Amino acid sequence: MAALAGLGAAVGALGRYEITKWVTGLWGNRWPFATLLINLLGSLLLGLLTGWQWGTWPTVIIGTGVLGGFTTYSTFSHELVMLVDQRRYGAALSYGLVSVGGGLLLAALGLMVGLRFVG
Amino acid sequence: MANVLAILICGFLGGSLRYWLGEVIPTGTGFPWSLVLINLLGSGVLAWLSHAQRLTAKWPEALTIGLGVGGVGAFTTFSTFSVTTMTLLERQQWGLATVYLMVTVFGGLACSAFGVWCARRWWRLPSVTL
Repeated sequence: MAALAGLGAAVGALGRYEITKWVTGLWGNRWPFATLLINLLGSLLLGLLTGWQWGTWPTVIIGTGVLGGFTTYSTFSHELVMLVDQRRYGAALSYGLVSVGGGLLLAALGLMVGLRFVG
Repeated sequence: MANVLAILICGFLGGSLRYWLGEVIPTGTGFPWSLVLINLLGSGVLAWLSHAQRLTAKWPEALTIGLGVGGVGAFTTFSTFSVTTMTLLERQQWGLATVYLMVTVFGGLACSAFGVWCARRWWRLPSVTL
C-alpha cells in the first residue's frame, strides 16, 4: 500500500513541478500564485474524493498519493517565511489567509459535492 | 530530464514515507499527530535545503530539485491538512480543530524560520567539506 501511495505521490509531485514552472512563467514569482493554486485545487479534489467514499484503493492511490504529493505544506510554509523575511507583511498575511481559509472552504465544498455521489 | 527523474524517485520515497508514518503513528485521542509531525519536519528540512547553497552547490542540480520538490514536497501535504481540519469542524470538535490548525500553521512557520536560520549560519562558515 505504501508503494501505491508512493507511485501516486511521484506523479503528483511531477505535476506540481510542471504547473509551478508554467504559472511562474506566466505571472512571475513575486507572489506565490503557483503553490496557492496547487494547494487550493488539491484541497477541493481531496474533499470531493473523501466525501465520495470511493473505497480504499482509490483513496490511497489518488488521495494519499497523487493529491498528497501534488499539494505541499513545506513550500507554503517556506514561502510565507520568505515573505515575512522580505518585510512584505501584506503579501504574507494575504498568502497565509487565502491558502488556509480558501483550502478549508474548498475542502468543505468538495466534501459536500462528493457526498452527493455516494450510493 | 534528470530533474523529472529525480522528482519521480524522490516523490515516490516521500509519499511512501508519509503513508507509512500515518500507519505507524497512533492517533489515540483523535488528534492527527502524524500529519502535524510530517508537515513540521518537512517545513524545517525544505527551508534549510533551499538556503544551504554552500552545500547544495556541490551537488548536481537535479538532486537538489529532486529532494526539495519531489522528496520533501511530496512528503508534506496541504490537501490532507485542509480536509482533516474540515472534518474535525464538521464533527464539531472545535477545540481539536483549532489546536490542529494553529499548531500546523505557527509550528510550520517556526520550523521554516529555524531551517533558514540554520542554513544561513552554515553559509557563514569559512568552508565545509563533506
